[in-house]
Amino acid sequence: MKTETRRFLLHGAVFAAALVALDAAVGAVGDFATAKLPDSAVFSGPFVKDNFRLNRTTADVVVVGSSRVAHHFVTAQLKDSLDRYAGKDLSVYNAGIDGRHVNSSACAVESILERHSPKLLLLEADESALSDDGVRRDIELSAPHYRTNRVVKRYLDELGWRARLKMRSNLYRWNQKVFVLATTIPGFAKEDPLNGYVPLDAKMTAADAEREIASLQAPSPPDARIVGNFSRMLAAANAKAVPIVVVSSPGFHSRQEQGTLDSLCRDAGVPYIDMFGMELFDEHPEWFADVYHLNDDGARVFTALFFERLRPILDSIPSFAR
Amino acid sequence: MLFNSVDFLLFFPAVVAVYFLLGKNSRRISFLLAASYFFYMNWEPAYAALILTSTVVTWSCGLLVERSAGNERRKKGFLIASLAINFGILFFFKYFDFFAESVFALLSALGLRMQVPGLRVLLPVGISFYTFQAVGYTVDVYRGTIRAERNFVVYALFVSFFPQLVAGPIERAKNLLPQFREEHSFRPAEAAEGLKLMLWGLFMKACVADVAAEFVDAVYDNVPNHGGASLLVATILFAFQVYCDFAGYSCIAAGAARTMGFRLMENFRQPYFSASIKEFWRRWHVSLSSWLTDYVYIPLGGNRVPFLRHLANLLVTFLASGLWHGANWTFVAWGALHGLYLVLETAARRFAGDAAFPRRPAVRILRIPLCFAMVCFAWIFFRADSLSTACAVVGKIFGDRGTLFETNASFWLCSLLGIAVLLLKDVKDRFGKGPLLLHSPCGAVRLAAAVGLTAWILLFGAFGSRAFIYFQF
Repeated sequence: MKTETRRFLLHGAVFAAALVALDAAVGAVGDFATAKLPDSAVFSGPFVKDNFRLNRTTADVVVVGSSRVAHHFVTAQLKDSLDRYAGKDLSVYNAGIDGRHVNSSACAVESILERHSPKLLLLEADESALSDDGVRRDIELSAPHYRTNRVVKRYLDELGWRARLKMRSNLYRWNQKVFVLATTIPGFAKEDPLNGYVPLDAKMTAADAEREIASLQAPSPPDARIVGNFSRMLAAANAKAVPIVVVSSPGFHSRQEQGTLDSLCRDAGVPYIDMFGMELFDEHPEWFADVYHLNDDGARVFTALFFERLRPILDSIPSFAR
Repeated sequence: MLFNSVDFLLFFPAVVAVYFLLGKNSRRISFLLAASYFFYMNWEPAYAALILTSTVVTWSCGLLVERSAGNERRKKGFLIASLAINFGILFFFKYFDFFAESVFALLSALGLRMQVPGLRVLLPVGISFYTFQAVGYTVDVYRGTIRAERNFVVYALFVSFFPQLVAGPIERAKNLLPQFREEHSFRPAEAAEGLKLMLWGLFMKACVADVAAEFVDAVYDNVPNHGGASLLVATILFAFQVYCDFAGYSCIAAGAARTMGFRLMENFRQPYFSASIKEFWRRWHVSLSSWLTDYVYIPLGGNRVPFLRHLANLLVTFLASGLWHGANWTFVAWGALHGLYLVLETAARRFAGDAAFPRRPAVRILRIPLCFAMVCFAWIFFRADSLSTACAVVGKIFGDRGTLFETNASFWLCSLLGIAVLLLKDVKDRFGKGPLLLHSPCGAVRLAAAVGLTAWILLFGAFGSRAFIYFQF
């Protein structure tokens, strides 16, 4: 082998070794920092909330889902209704995160069940969330927990060999999340008095709604892998005897049939509350921030109506029996 | 297969290793051809038939044109046949629906209700690039600039060479074909140079283009809900997105080719540091600008015609450039706007002489932001999905400031840091002396720069499998 080629290979090896060392250092610092992230009543962005819902929450009632949970379930109002119903002081946490759909939510539910048995789990989903359209990869946003949370690892490994390969890199696991470390600095994290609820102020006009509806595309059919994960998550809750209720919250003029979701819940013996196409909400565009998201006014109406639909189900749950 | 995908991370080293292990050049060329088709067929296997058709047609016509020397009519006939078939395929797949919709709109405006059929076919990736490259070859043979290539495998590789197949640079036969005939031994210095180019290209794509895209898409995909401030910031970010997306691709392409010993032409030369639109077009997408100059502008007469005809030639060339980019009136408007800029610049030069464009460094530096602003204004038309949206964007930027679209702090840190690093390199390349960190004479500095850049890409880059913008062209 020529001297030049030998030198090239040597430089390549030194480069690889330096990169591996840096990668290991980032992994160690990242895992250490995750353990130091602020705790429960703190909200400083989706990563902190994800860490809390995956690894820490011990709330009696946890609501899991996407932005439609974060913006739709008024935690204090729900807690108030549940407390009055059960005659107890229950802790309620809204664990909804923007852009985290069914796969990510199923992973969060399974993670919660691994270490804690809540008195009630509420999962928000609708039929469109069962189709892939790239949302199956929402779980990649939990990549920093790959080495420390075995449920997250299982979900990520199931994405395929490419995901498994990418997870070998700590640098990649921490991709675009390194600034989260700033929240470990005392005084940096913001208090979250709303226990996970994120109110929206914007009010949609009828013209906005019309424009948005015109640009909506028909969702793809349900994806077998997402459906499989959803069913596995329901089975995990049943196996641990943790009551779980699936709910579809309203969208504006949303007319999609929830057939698959309904039959999955029925097969698992899990109650399903379908409020997705509720006509009352169609008459009030001012309750929405956009066609998929309720604003604070709409969320308060929805939370009250939801509780009325939940009440008969609570009657059959022993821990809520009066 | 995207350059910024795990698949390419495995594909590329495997191809390079096998390429150098094969030894004999004929085997290497055949292997590269197979690898290039494999690379392309990852998108849509059926469309490989289109490249093959284009290859067979231009190769045969090249030979027939050369054999028809002395019989000008026959020679021209073969040239026209080649152009008709290639541009026919391009028109069918890229422009037919646009043409049909425009005819339908025109007929409707005239009060005639007629149904014009649309094809709604998927646009084959990179069709404009390889068509222009293959057509350029036929014209060169016709002009006698190059000899027709006898070896079909070599020629097929010229059309489909995977590093530059889907988004250029649009190579010239006289540059690339001879390189395929030469035997390339593994040269560590070239390989290192190639890998550094690829690393920088990946940085541009993942850490600037795709990060900026998150803001740009959020704003431009929902124009009615955003004010002028957000749209202005989104337009400036789009200027960096489109530059880093395309220049990043070109860097990776050039780097991949260099690793195997091939040299592709430089496609970008710090375009945003241009002091005039004319200079901008000597620095932006150089391979397309020079192609249009050689095969459209000069045959039209270039600047060796009466002044008004010269201006018309400029306008026609830029309209062609706009239409090349996409089948939408927005691209035509973008091309027309650049044509208009050049017409005004050329007229100013003619009537005011050097006074219009003083060469004093201080004045030149002041002209750079002005030129950037003009380019950004044109990008509005390039990015908007329709002319009415583009006009709405312009109206909001100049008439309704609004509030800036809120996004997280980490986005701003990632994107602004990325742009800062990019500008530092461009300033150094354009105005500075001495090597950059990746080319430092000190080995430890080079190593630290390479490790740091790789770590930056992995830590701060956006990896949403976003395709390169120019793939759609």
